[in-house]
Amino acid sequence: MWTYVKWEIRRLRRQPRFWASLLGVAVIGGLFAYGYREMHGKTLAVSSVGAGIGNGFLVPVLALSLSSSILLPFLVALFAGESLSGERQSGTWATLLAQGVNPWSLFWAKSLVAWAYAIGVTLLLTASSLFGGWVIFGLHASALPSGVMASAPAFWRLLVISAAYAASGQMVVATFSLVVGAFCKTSLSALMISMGTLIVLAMLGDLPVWGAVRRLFFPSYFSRITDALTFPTNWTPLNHGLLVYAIYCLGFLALILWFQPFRD
Amino acid sequence: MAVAVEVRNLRKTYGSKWALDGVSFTVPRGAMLGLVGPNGAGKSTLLRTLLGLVRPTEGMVLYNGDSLWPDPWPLMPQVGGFVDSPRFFPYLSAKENLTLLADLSGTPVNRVMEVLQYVHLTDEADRRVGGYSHGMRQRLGIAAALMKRPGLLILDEPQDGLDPARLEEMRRLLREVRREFGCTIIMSSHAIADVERLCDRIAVFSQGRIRYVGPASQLGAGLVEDVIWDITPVDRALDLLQALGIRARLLDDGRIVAPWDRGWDLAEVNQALVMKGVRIATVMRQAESLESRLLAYLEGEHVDIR
Repeated sequence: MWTYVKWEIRRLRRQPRFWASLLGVAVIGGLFAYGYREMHGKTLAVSSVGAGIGNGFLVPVLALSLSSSILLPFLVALFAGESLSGERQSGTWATLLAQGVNPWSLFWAKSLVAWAYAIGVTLLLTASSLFGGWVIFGLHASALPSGVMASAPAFWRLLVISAAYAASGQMVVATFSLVVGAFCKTSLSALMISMGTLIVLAMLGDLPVWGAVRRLFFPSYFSRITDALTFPTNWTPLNHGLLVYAIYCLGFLALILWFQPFRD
Repeated sequence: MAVAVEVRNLRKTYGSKWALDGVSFTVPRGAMLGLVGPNGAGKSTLLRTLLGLVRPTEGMVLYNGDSLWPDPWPLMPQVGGFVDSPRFFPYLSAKENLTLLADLSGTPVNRVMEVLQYVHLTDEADRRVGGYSHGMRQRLGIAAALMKRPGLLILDEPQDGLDPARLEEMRRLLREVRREFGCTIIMSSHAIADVERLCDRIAVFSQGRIRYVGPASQLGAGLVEDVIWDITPVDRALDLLQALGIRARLLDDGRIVAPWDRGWDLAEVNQALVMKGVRIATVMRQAESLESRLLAYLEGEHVDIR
């Protein structure tokens, strides 16, 4: 299995767009810090920003909340979806199978690398936005809009929870995109289907009538940023979200096990 | 002679279309079978099925008595080859591509340079495959297939798109592979003359079915002469010839050809044509080629002699 993972990583490393995506995420993290500085103190929908909390800890929370539904899923869907469908499109998938390479080992290796990429870009965005926040505002304790005084360790804990939750969400996106990619013959169709589905789900989730359904089936920890600023942390929505994510992942993998779409 | 490959009543459907419709044949160990037929006849689908890339709807494929389907993976070390044209990672060198394939398929990596040398690609081993010519990729595809030292080699149009010099090189390579590796080879080709020269068995494909399978010599047995007319007006002449019971057909160059089976008198036919106002510029007899015999098979003019 590790031989497969090693080659998958090596293959990914040779692609300029892989490095471009990492560079892009790092730059965007810094831009979030700059944007936060520009916005804070103004009357905005995001209360913590509008309330003028000049604290570098809040920059990654904002960056993750705004990127979790569009930017990160786009990148993750691009790489995870392409990893299978792109090989099918280019014909290298047939070369590998004709060579006697086990398709299941390939699939699991690609899954591991896709999940690692999903976690990696989330952590990179967290790190770059935290760095930008630290440079501009510094990292320190602050009073929250609720009046609660949050210490620096409490902020660190919030940051770890936020990043872990965002990474879990992106792993679901990666799994979904892998499954879509396994059924598609071109990387473009895989990207269109996975991104299209995610956008439709995000739009449906924003409709008031879907609110309850969304909270039940499409939990978005960052859709209500005040939840993330709850001190002490409210574990119930977090656990619910993680449980739903896990069910989704298992469902997607069950689809693969059932259909085994590795051969035409 | 022991049977290396046995295909029994193989069928494959895509929606309502039959890509393979009850294909059956056997290939003796060490033999070379050439698949010929028009585009869309089912050759590539058959090769894909034999390579474990396409799951058949019905039927069986046996390699040395073991069934390839439903799980082809355990038998794949015995089989090598490519379908369409061989595809590799363009941003990796030939050496890296083969090392990747060897590493993932559990083949000893030290065979990489060995097979590259065999297909005369040692000097280009460190060059990215993206910059390779078509012929070099074909050779690299054969190198990849040979790395496993397979008992069965499956090649889809290995001579496709090669210039005459490379074509001769490929013919030589295929003969060498067969001689030195002793493997059974199944290849498809549009170059019927090549198949006739390289293969000892031929399978003629049309509309997902095998019209003929057997020794090339048997297919060519009893070849007759063709009569070729350069004649105007062509449509009228064609109608008249067919009215006389002659199986005439139009060639791409506008001439008319008919097999001369001595059941009719050429002089009388020419006279009848002239009497009906047809102008004959030239008329000539030539020996029927294997190619024209195959075309006749594909057009259903001959009965199946399987």
